[in-house]
Order: sequence, then C-alpha cells, then structure tokens
Amino acid sequence: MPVLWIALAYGIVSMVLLVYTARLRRRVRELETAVGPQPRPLVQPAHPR
Amino acid sequence: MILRTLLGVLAIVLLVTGAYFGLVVSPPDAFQGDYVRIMYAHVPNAWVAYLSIATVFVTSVLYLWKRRAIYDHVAHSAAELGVLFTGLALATGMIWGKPVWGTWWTWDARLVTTAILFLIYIGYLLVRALSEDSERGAKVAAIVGIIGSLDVPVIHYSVLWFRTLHQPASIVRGDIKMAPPMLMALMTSLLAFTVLFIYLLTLRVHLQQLHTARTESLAHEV
Repeated sequence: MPVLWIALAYGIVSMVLLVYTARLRRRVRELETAVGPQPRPLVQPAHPR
Repeated sequence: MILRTLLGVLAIVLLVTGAYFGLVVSPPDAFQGDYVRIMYAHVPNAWVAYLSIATVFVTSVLYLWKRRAIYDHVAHSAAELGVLFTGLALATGMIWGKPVWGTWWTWDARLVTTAILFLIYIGYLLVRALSEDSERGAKVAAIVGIIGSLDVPVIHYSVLWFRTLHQPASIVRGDIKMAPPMLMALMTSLLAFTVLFIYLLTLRVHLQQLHTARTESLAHEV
C-alpha cells in the first residue's frame, strides 16, 4: 500500500516541522515580552521635521 | 519582522505547491511506482541538512577569526536545524527504504555517514548545553562544528567512492537523469525547504539574541 508509506513520510515531516516552528515562535513571543521593547534604530534624522 | 513574516508565508505557499506537484502532478516511477513520491519529502530534508552544516562551517570559521557573537548565534542556530533536518532525512529515508529495498536500515556508506553526521551535531549541541563558560563553550563548539562539517563531502561522494545500495545523484552538473514533471516537483520542494530554512534560521537567531539580552539584563539586576 504505497499510500500508507507516503502518508507516513509526509505526516512525520509535517508534524515535526509544525511543532518545532510553533515552539520557536512561542518562545520568541515569551522572550520579547520579558525583554521589553527593542532599542531604537541607530540611524535617525539629525533634524526631524 | 515583516520580512520574516513574508518569508514564512512564502515558505507555506511553496511547501503546499511542492506537495501538490509531488503528490498529484508527478507521474509514478517506472520501477518504484508511487513510492517515488517519498523522494519529494526525503531529498529536500537532506539538502537543507547540508545547507545547515555549510552554514555552521562558515559561521564557525568566522567566529574563531572575528570573535563576534552574531557568528556564534548563527552557528548554534544552524547546528540545531542541522540536527532537525538530518533526523528527518534519516527518518524519511528509512520509510522509503522499507517498501523499496525491503529493509528499514542497512549498513550502507551513505546511511552510516549520515547517521554519523546526526550524532556529531547532537554532540555539538551537548557541548554547548553542558559548558559553564559560554565563551569557552562557543569556541569548543566552533571547532566541533568545523570538524563535523568535513563529513558532508564524505556523505555526498560516498555513493561514488563505495559500493552502495543508495542510488547516486540524479542531478549532476550538466546531466539531469529525471523526467521534466518529476524534476519540477523536486525543484519546487527544494526551493520551498530552502525558504523554510532561511525563515527558521532567522527566527532561531532572533531567539538566541533575545535569550542573550535576557541573560545579560538578569545579570545586571543581580
């Protein structure tokens, strides 16, 4: 049954990548909240209008 | 931030397109039948594993030379992705091997050298995790990363150097041994996984930078 083997391969790849990406994004959100706002850009107009 | 989100959306679109081409458009193989569709999940994982390790090599050399933290952050992030994609390449290879070769695993040069790569980069992550001095840990990890990356050319040429069960490359410079619809499906999947790799790498490096900023701010508070 090729369908089962194909589903197993695609299923494992999809699940692992989905879980890894979701965990990474959640961890980034948590740390962004903990660290607070990021520093302002270094390059800014000298005389803002 | 916006660029990273766009990369993520592009990766999803390309992954869905690649899966459509691989599962629907691509014809079955003359010998393997529909099992050939596993190739569109297996080869891109192996390609991104190579890409990750190449990134580790370049950024580890740059870190040892320039000692800038950003190179270490990229090397660490790429090594983690290298373990992830090498693991997926091994898993999908075993799933493809069972119905086509009749076995999950064989002590074939390509398979063994890939498994060694997987173990080397697990070791790389352990070196980092167990090191108490982060600068020393980064230095040792960079050396492990550079030595470990020497396994990639061995993996790539193992099918030529040794008598193996694993098939040689179907796409060699100037010589493509693949029907156009299959080639289109494979190329779309390779592009999709490359974009996904860039997205995951930028996200992982950002996480590493946030983690460093958090650690430094906690150290200041103490």
